[in-house]
This record gives sequence, structure tokens and C-alpha cells, in this order.
Amino acid sequence: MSGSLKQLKRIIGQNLSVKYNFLPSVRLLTSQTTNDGETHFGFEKVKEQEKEKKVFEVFENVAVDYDIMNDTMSLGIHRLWKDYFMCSLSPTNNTKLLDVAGGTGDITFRFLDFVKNQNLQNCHATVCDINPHMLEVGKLRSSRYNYNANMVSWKEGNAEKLDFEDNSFNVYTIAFGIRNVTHIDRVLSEAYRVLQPGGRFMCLEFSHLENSTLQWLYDQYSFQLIPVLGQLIAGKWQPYKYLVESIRQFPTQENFKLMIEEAGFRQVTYENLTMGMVAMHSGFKL
Amino acid sequence: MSFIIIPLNRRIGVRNSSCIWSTIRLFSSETTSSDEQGDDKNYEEDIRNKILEASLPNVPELGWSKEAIAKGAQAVGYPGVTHGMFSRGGGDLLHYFQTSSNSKLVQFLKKYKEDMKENPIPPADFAERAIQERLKMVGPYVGKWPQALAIMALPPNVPNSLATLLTMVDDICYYAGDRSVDHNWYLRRIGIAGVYKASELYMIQDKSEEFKNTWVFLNKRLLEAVQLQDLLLKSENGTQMAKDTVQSVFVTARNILGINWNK
Repeated sequence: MSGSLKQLKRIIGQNLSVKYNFLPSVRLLTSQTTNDGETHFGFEKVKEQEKEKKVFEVFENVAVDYDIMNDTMSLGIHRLWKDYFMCSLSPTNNTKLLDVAGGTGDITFRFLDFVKNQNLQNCHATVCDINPHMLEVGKLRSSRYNYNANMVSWKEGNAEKLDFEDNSFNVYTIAFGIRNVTHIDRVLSEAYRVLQPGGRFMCLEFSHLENSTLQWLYDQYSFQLIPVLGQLIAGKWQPYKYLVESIRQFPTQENFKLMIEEAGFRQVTYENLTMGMVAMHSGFKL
Repeated sequence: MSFIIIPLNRRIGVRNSSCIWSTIRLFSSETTSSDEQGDDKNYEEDIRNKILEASLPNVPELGWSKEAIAKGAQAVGYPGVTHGMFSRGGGDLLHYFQTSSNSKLVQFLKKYKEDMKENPIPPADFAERAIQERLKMVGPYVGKWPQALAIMALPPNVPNSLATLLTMVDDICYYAGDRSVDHNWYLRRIGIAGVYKASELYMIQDKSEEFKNTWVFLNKRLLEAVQLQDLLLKSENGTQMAKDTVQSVFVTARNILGINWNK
């Protein structure tokens, strides 16, 4: 115990020496990629080609403790966000869902529950995640909770170049995933491509608080506490440091809405949950 | 009504000066882009209206609900989840029904007035015929009309439902030949709105063939309203006070619906 505490102290010391004075300037940046082929990985700058690999490592590391960490960090509220997300979607008969970055199945299982409770016909979900470790966790949970295996398919794939035909789904969801991709615009245009006319794009993602005092409080919590919790509970500091930094790098609600519109979606709206801690964006291919 | 009449006027204006417009368009790229934007908005609006129109036949079975919209969307070739475009669900469907019925009524009133040109009927009879016509549109949905009334009374829907009601009575009075510029203007409109709402309530429990009892009820209430108006006219001072309040209500209603105020 004392050994691990000592280790924790060391890590905290190392990481706190990197002050985040550059926070305000960072928040002004709206585009994800800079001119010279570099992109953000948290507050670090990395080569575009490297980001994918680095993100992969992050989620490879956190896959097993993903759930327990989500619960601790958000005090369980992430479940409410996801429930509300599914309620807003309100699937109907013949819904073909593509859940991108949905490895552990949080959204897909809610979808399957909804279908079962409403007794909907002819529905199917495809989970697509770039990371096989996350998919493994999802598959394991799927069999543990006895979900109908015929209604779900699991597929490893990159959100920037989906291996699906045009117009093959009518709902595309991406929950807490889009901030980890290298090119948001490519993901959005792929989403537009695979959706059929009338299909709905829905995204749940950490965002920016409306109130600056609360944002400050939230920043303190994120930067001071979350990596510590990560170290204590999951034994990993870096992935959780990346998590909070990547949230700050993500475009604001309005900017992200513009990006969705640029991809061709119409009737684009967003809704802030918990004062903007999380934003739910929605758009239609018409 | 103005939302029918004014575009008509505009169209005529454009037609008269069409050569000027085409010349301007030749030299101005800006005009084109703003036109495109307008088309864009219409494109979305047309799809929304198409879905809602196709959803109305599902109302007697599924009520004013997301489910009815989902089924309507599927009927015109969209997936059911397109219902998410209508954030207020049944409220949006109901609002569409109310506004489209109102514009149908305006068309009917125009034609009716044209037909009655030879032998004009008294305004009260005209109003009765108009209210009857409007209530008949509710007829197919009478089974789900209590639900509709409940939806209209929900706080987020109140502005829209009040505005559609006031616009409708305004149209009826206008076509009935009301050109008054004094407080009678308000009295008539409020009177008609009251009679309409009362008859609507009567209608939802009316089991008689083709709502015969409702029409009798309507006739009696209108007679009373006329008597009441006469009474108020004789005590003119009392009504002066209400004028300002009511005026603002009507202006607000028009503004909420985004309808041009000028007749």
C-alpha cells in the first residue's frame, strides 16, 4: 500500500510540474488538425499518423476498468446521459443502428432494451469500434446479460473509413467517441454516407460548460482529481490525463454543430446535459 | 388569412415586374445565393410538412404522438426515427393540423364569400357557417380531440395554440365583413373565439349523427353572443377599458405565428 502511495506521489509530482497555463489559448483552437500534419493528443502535439496509435493504446489500457472508472468519475451520471440519449432517439420498428466507437456496448445495450420493452420488430444493431479490446469487453457483457446475439453484430473498423455500404443504416450513434478521432470531418462525412435519407446522426460527447465559474470548478475537478482517481482505481495515470485534456480540445457546441452541417446534415440541433458538461448533437440526412 | 393573401400580392407584383427581376438577376450573384438559401429552407420545410401530412391519417389510431409521426414518415419513404425532427412530437403534429386547417378555412371562406356575392347573408350567419366548417375538419379526429386539447394546454404549446385560435377568429370576422375600427372589432373576435371553443367542447361528447346537436348548440351560443354584444353596445363606456389589453393580445398572436399584421 505504502509502495503504491509513494508511486502515486511521484507521478503527481511529475505531472503537476507541467502547468496548464496554455489552457485559454488552446480553447480558442477550433480545428483539430494544424497545418503541418500535426494534431492534438490531449495537450500534446503529435504527428497525425501517431494519434490513432496513441488513442488505441489509451483504450487498450482502460478497456477492462472502463465501466468502473466511468461510474466513479461521473458519479454514475453517465448512465443517465446515455439513457436520455436513447430516449431522445426513441427507436421505432425497422431501425438499423450503427453504433460507432461503441465497443463496450453501452449505447447498443440500451437500444436492445428499448426494442425489447417497446416490442419493436425488425431492429438490428451493429457495433463498430477501432479497438478489439473494447469490443471484447462488449461481447463478454453481451453474453453475460443474455442479449439476443442475432440482433447485434460486432465489427472492428475505423470511423474515418467505414467498411459499410452507402445508405445501409438509419441511425448512426457515436457516444464519447468522436473526440478521439484524428479527423472529425471525415468521420462526419462517413456517417452521412452510410445513412439512408431520413436517417439520424446522433452524437453524445463531453463539451463546454455555459457558466465560466462552473467551468473553472469543473476544470479543477478534471485536472486535479480525475488522473488521481485513474491512478488509484485503475492504476493508470496517463489515459485519464489524456481523457480530460481531449475534452478541452473538442470544439464548442456551436462549432461542432457547424461541422455537422458542413458534412451535409440538416435540422441540426444540440442539447446541453448537466449544464453543458455533455452535449447531445443531432442531425438528419434529408 | 394574410399569409395567403400577402404571398399572392407579392406573386402578382413579381409577375408584373418579371423582366426587371431577371435583368437584376443577370448582374447579381448575391440575389441567386439568397434565393438558394430560401430554397434550402423550403426544402426542409416541405419535407417536414410532407411527413406531418402523411402522419394525420394515423391519428385516429395512434393519437397525437411520436408513433403517429413515425408511421407517417415510413409512409413517405423515410425511416421511423425521422420523427426526431419534431422535437415536440404530438405538439408539432397538432400545430401542423391547426395551421393547415386554418388555411383551408381561409380558402373556403374566400370561395363562400364569392358565391354569396349575389345575395349577401348576415354576418352572424356567415360566422356560424364558418365555425361549422372549421369544426367539421376536427370531425375525423374527434376521438383523439380530448388529447389534442390537453396537448394545446401544455405550457410550451400554449402560445402556438392561442395564436392559431386568434388568427382563425380574425379570419372569420374579416370575411364575415367586419371592417370596424372601434372596440367592436375586439368584441366580435373574442365572442367568436368563445363560441368556437364552447362548441368544440360540446362536440367531443356529441354522439349524434353528423354532429347535429353540435350545430344546434353552436346556433344558440351565437344568438346569445349577438344579444350580449347589443347589450354591451348600449353601455359603451364599460368596454373602452378592455380595448388596449385585447389589442396587444391579437398583435402578439400574429407575431408568435410570424404572420404579417397588415391585411
